[in-house]
Amino acid sequence: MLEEKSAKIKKIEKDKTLSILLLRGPYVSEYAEIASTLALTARKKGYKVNMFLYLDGTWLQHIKEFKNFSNPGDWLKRAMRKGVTVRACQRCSSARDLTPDDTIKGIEQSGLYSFVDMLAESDRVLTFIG
Amino acid sequence: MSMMGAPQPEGCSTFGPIPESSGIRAWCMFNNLTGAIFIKGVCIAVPISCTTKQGGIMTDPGKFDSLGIVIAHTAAVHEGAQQAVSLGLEAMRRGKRVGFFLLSDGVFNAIQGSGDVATGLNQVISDGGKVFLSSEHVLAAGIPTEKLITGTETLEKAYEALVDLIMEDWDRVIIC
Amino acid sequence: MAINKKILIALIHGTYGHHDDCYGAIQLANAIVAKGGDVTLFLRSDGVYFAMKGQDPIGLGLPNNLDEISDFLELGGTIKVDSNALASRGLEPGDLIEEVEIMDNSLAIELIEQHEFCLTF
Repeated sequence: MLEEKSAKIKKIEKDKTLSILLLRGPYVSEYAEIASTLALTARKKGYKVNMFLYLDGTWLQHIKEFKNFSNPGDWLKRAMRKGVTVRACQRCSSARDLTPDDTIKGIEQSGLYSFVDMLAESDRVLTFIG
Repeated sequence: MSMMGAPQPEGCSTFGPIPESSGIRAWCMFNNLTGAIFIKGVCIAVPISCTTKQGGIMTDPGKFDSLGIVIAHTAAVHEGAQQAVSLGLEAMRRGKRVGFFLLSDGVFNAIQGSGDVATGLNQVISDGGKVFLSSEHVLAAGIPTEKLITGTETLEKAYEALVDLIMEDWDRVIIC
Repeated sequence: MAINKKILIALIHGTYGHHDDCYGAIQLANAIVAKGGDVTLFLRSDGVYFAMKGQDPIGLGLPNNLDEISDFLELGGTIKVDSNALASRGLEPGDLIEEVEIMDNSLAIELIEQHEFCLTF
């Protein structure tokens, strides 16, 4: 009985990696929510998941406060708490004056090569633009 | 040229029936492996070029059998939805298994008679492809069930289903 | 980490009115080829405008797409253009830079087959 229970509790890590490239900011479309929700769902299923915020997608890291309505930043934070690795393009962030103080803690602003590294280890890659 | 008795190539039902829609037959034709002999849809012999030195089928790592296409916008926004449908139909003509997943504004494309994209999706279903809809988005959009294209599958836990399709079912995924 | 993959970047934006998208795409393309990857840029829809010859955005204060394209080609990248998108926009192959390859979009499946990922910009 105890063994069954611990088997159920044990997280099954799957050996595939999903990377998501988000190119659109929050609220202008549903893509930020879709990307974050997919990332969270995939992570819960045990896949390794990366997200890279690029171009206007970098605005998502700025949504860090509580809202009493749909909050794309909250979805992103949930995904990060579950173990999704999130990075943001440093150049795109800088162009939008998004400094680390303005953004969700735990998101590293890095160069484009860090996304290329994500691509290198990925089995599936999704881009969200619209 | 005949390789009767050779180890069965990986992924190929050699010496057995291959349906017309089989990706392997399409793959053979696509790669001009004209040495493969089909009689009434049954492959009875393969040329040496079909096999690796180890006896397995020499597949290009880029080849794929199944394609998933996600549409999250309406046809009016840009050509993406229409192109996605054309791409899917072409893939099916080439023997690929194709699935569409409509979510967010993409669900509006599944309204019967709404335009070329809906017509294309009807064709996809007729030809054996799958069209999935996110029930959360269909409900949000207020689309009555009777207005949806016949043969679409509305999924309750859409994101979980989509992750399964992306990670385990589809060899390639395009988001249009 | 070097990247040993073939990646297709489908560009549906190509104008200075939506410059961030196409500029972002070519920057990523260049980063991938610089790290050893193999990239094909597939211009479709409004992406075909990206390869028009004689571009000069100096009055807009924006970088010239052709400079980035030049780097991309030099690093070994390939550019293909959807012939249908070109024709529907009243353009001809002669309106584009010479280094691109025009193809029918019914062959897009082959492009997908030749690459491991397709990123849409």
